[in-house]
Amino acid sequence: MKHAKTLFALIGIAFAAFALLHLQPDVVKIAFGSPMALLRFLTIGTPLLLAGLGVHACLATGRILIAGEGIYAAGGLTVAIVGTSLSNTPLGLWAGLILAFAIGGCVGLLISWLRENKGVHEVISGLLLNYILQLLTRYLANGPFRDPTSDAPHTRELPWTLPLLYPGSDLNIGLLLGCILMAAYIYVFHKTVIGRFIRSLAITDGVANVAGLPPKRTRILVMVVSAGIIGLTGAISIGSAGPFRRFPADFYGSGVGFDGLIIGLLAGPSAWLLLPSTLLIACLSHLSDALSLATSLPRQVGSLAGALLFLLAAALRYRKESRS
Amino acid sequence: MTLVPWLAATTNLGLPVMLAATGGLICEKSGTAALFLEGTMLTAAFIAIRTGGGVNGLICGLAAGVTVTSCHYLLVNRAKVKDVIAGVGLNMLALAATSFCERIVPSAESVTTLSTTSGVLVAAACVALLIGCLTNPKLRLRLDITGESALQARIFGINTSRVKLASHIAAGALAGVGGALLPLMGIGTFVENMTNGRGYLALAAIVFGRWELRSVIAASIAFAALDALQLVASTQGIKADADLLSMMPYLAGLIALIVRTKRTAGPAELSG
Repeated sequence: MKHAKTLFALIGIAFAAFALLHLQPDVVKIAFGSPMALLRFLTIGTPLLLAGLGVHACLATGRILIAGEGIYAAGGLTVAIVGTSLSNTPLGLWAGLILAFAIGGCVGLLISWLRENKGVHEVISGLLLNYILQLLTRYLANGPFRDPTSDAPHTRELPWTLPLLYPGSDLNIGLLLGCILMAAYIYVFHKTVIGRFIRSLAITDGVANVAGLPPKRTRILVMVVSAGIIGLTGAISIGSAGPFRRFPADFYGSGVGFDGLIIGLLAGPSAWLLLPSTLLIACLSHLSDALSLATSLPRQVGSLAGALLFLLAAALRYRKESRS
Repeated sequence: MTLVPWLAATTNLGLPVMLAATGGLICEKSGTAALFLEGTMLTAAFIAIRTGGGVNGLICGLAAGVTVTSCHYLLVNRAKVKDVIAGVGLNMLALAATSFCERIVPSAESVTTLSTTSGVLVAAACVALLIGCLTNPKLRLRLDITGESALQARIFGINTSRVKLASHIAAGALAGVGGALLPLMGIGTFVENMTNGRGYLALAAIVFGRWELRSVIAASIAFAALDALQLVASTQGIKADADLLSMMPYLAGLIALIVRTKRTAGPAELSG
């Protein structure tokens, strides 16, 4: 069935909502019972949308971008440093975002260069880079770039926030950017010849070779852009209003990179399924927060469900591929 | 910095990594990527502490390790999930499950820790057993042929499923013992994500050691020696940033991969 996974995602959401409504009506009320709660849900979904997009593009070329968690932190720290350094000019915001994209792209370039030219598997190098970036960002936020006026380990506060979409909430233009990028991605991926050749890279290099697209260079380019988007996601999270606007030393570990991986895998080979997959994971994350507020259950229940979904999606996707 | 505390810390951190790396080596030699080492070690560490530690904890850790790798075997060989994806998924599941259970499962009343000598003896026994198995020509041949070409192995009448299952069990047992030793030889308690990437270091040691037992053991100990630097620096009052020192083994692992990796070095059946 062509849209089996969309159906699967929708059934999953409906079943989870139904079960929660009956078992814990308070949880649903906290999560979705007010306009502010819905805005919060969209705020949680914004980085997931962008991270899922980045990972999905890589998966489409047969490569796994697992360093998303570290790249997300690196992008966040970049915007915090650049934004506070260029606080006197209006360029600070845009320079921070562009540099966050560039830093993410550089990490992507390193991973893909190692993979394509040295044969180092992108998962192993990506996981090691995750730890390196985690410790490096923590060191920088706790050391050279620490806010000297605060006891808590974080960088100085940004003098600006990203333009808000809805006053009084944390929802910013990141969501708009995510939607535009998503629409562009779906168009390129499904409606253009280049998109079709890129998709063929997951199966064979032959088609792209015949079309004159060098497979190695294309994979590197896709990884660079994907990692750049995840770096940008980190910058958008830090540049938001609300709890951030400064880079906390323990920023790494928010789970956005790994959630992006689950979204990319859940969506499978179709870019159309990115949105329902993002909604499912954002829903899971939002509900687990509400569940931990309403009950004594730890909020790790969301990560647990996410990991199980990842394995289920992997089993469904790769079983199907092995049959075809 | 005095040498003795550094050597002691290297031993305490090195044995778990070495055991996990040798376990992962067996699995990789049979043609399956051993990405699951991190999750296996983490689960074993949690179970070892929650069951009270000591020999009981060690055995329960071993059993937990075998359970995790058996799940990996089922995912890869029955559900046909790519080995790398299955490993990453199991690691995510292990991290989420141990973090969740840590908050809801009560701790054991008392935890019996193990001395460094006991840990060294356990690790030496495991490695000796492994060397015994790998020097057996029949076993070695079956493992190598399965890792190089499962099709050829089947033509020679080798039951590749059984070889892969046995290698998964061996990997689970060794990584399980390694994971259990991590808290039992150390702080005697479980901390969320306490393996902190040591399973991936074990994996880097396998690649750096080019799938040769002696080199893999040497690489594991070298990574552990770098890992021990930050522990020793903090206890000896040496002024150095803990985060930068903690970064050393991962950086070394990455550099090692860049310097030593060759496409042809590993078993041919390992997914590219």
